[in-house]
Amino acid sequence: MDTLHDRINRVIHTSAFEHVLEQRGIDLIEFQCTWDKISGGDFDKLPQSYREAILVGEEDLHGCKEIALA
Amino acid sequence: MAVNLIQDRSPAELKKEITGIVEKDLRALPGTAKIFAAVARLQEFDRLPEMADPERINQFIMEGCKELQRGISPSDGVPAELYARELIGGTLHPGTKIAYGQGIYLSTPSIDGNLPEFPKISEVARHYACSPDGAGIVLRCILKREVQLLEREDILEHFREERNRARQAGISDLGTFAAACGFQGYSCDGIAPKHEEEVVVVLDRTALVFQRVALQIPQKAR
Repeated sequence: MDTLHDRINRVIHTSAFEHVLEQRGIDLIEFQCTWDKISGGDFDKLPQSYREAILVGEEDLHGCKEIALA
Repeated sequence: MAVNLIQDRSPAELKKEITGIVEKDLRALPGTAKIFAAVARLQEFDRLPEMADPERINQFIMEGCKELQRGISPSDGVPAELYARELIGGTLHPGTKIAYGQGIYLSTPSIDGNLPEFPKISEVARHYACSPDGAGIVLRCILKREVQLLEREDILEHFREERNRARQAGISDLGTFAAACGFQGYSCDGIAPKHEEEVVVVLDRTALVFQRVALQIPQKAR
């Protein structure tokens, strides 16, 4: 089962994820300290900025994969 | 003995020390992982942990030490056993799965193991050991009694006070910041909301005593 924890682990190193957090003025440390407490593991309960960072990170990963296969 | 590197050195000095170590680290790891490895080296958190027989581990637990377990799965063709041997007797390999920050992720066991060497098993550790790529490993260890675990809220409070110095030193990860402050580990929850198990991130490998006997978890069907 793919948990929110797994999703975050996949995107946390992407530059797109980091970029969104930086744009929103959120430190990675603050994110690492709070995401599970805020959400209880439910993506939909995360603040908009956190959700956006994860989704953009996933898009970034997806894009990387497509380039590698081509 | 660990010191608070954030306060003990100027941000420029600390950054220079970290960069000097990172530049010599030729492993294929993300930058944040190499920075953690550098801080762990400066704090001597990368030294080898102690090992003990199951009987001694049981004794530690009876004396009140916290039991912890770690699940390891194979990846990219590397067997879990190799990762396990490296964790207890090799170079400290920082991870890449850092939702809770850099460090060694462990959890408290909650279900019956029915084995003398594993009277209880952590469901979280077993979950992370279970893989379709091959057999996994669950390691059993204890946290030394003198080790104080922090809560993440406490570290966040420290970070808010030291944000600028940490940033200037190039530290942006929770585990790395906590290690730089000299903390040996911290407690987390929420990794598996349905479980009662506590998840602990240990930064100082010498804070642990590992059991010499591990548990092999069969390969998961694809």
